[in-house]
Amino acid sequence: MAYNPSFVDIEYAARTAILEAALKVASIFDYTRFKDDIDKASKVITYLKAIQNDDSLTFDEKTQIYQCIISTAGIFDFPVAPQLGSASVPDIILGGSGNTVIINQGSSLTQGSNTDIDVTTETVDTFATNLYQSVLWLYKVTSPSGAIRSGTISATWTGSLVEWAEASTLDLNGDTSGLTFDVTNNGTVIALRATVTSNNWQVYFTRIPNYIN
Amino acid sequence: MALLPILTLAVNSDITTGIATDSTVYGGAEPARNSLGVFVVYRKINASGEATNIVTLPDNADPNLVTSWTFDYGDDGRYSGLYIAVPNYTVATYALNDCVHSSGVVYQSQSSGNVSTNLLDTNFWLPIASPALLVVAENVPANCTTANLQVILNRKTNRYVGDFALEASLDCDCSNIDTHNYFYTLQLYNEGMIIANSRARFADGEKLAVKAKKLYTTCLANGI
Repeated sequence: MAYNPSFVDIEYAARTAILEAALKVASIFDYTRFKDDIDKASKVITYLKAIQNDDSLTFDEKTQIYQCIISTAGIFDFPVAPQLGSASVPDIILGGSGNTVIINQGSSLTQGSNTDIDVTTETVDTFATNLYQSVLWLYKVTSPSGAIRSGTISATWTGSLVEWAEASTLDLNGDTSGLTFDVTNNGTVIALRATVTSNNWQVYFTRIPNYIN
Repeated sequence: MALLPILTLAVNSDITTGIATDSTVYGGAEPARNSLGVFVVYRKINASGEATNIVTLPDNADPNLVTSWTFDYGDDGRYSGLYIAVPNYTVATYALNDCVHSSGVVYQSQSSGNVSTNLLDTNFWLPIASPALLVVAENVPANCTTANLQVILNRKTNRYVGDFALEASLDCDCSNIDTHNYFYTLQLYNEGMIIANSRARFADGEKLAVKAKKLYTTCLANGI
């Protein structure tokens, strides 16, 4: 089965390549000896900035730039021999050829809850920023009166910055608008937080890393 | 749930002062802000992992009210913000090493089962000169919220990347190839610092900061 890295995968691997190149160049006094590494890394930096700073790029243009990143950074240089005999928990693969969805290894899924959320803001989930680069939470909210909604929150971060987005079902059995989520990043810890307008709310979640370091 | 300390960092325009603003959520299910004495100190961590304390000044002398701190910004690299929230003293039984805050002073319990109400009785309580340093001490108080918030700061390198880019742009016919090489190398160090920070690879980030400083200092000394 061919593995097609996502844009997020490519960006992460490209940044890894940049960091490795920087450390390599920094390891000696005469950095000019690594001019080729500097040139390649500089191109990758430029390509990444082109993607990040231009909202007008089409999907095809982005794909072309990502291909340049792959070839310049020397990442995802497939084909590779399959790795057999892994003792780790296997991936769960859904869908047919060309439409596969890989849910990350079972050991990386995290389930949890905060079953007593009171006014005003409480933390639902926390983890170190260096564990992943992005994450998806599946959640179910239950109000004090039994109204429920389900949804997802995706988040990605770098440094002390974080971007997140929520999508959810409509409410059942009443109104759950009294609970809102947000995601914070203090540079070390990512926190999924719930802000409520009354006491005794419940949140159950499953955390799925989009990329494992 | 426990407090989740968050310090939001900024650096002034001439890159001489860091400003840490307390973005921690207090109140609600968490302790009220005025029930805690909050103390912060910043430290610079060198490539060997050794820490140097930096004078860190609160914007309010009352630890129950302070919301931001300033510290001298020296070199780019690895900084560590030590945060401690100490509960105000109330009559209770305190464990060994527990801390309480009273009128701007933090006292640490010297015994288990400490019920002494006299904070000046040094048999039971000792004043702590630098409460935030308790975060990295052996006797961390279990009744306080503590955090060691590390970060790689790259403000100076980032500025010199801009300066070097200008120099390289002015040399559009590439007559002085060194100008371009210096820019690309410094840009690589700068990006490496940003990535190291996002991945909590603080030792690597510090290493790159040192090399970046060496590069732009040499260039400046040679008039490049």
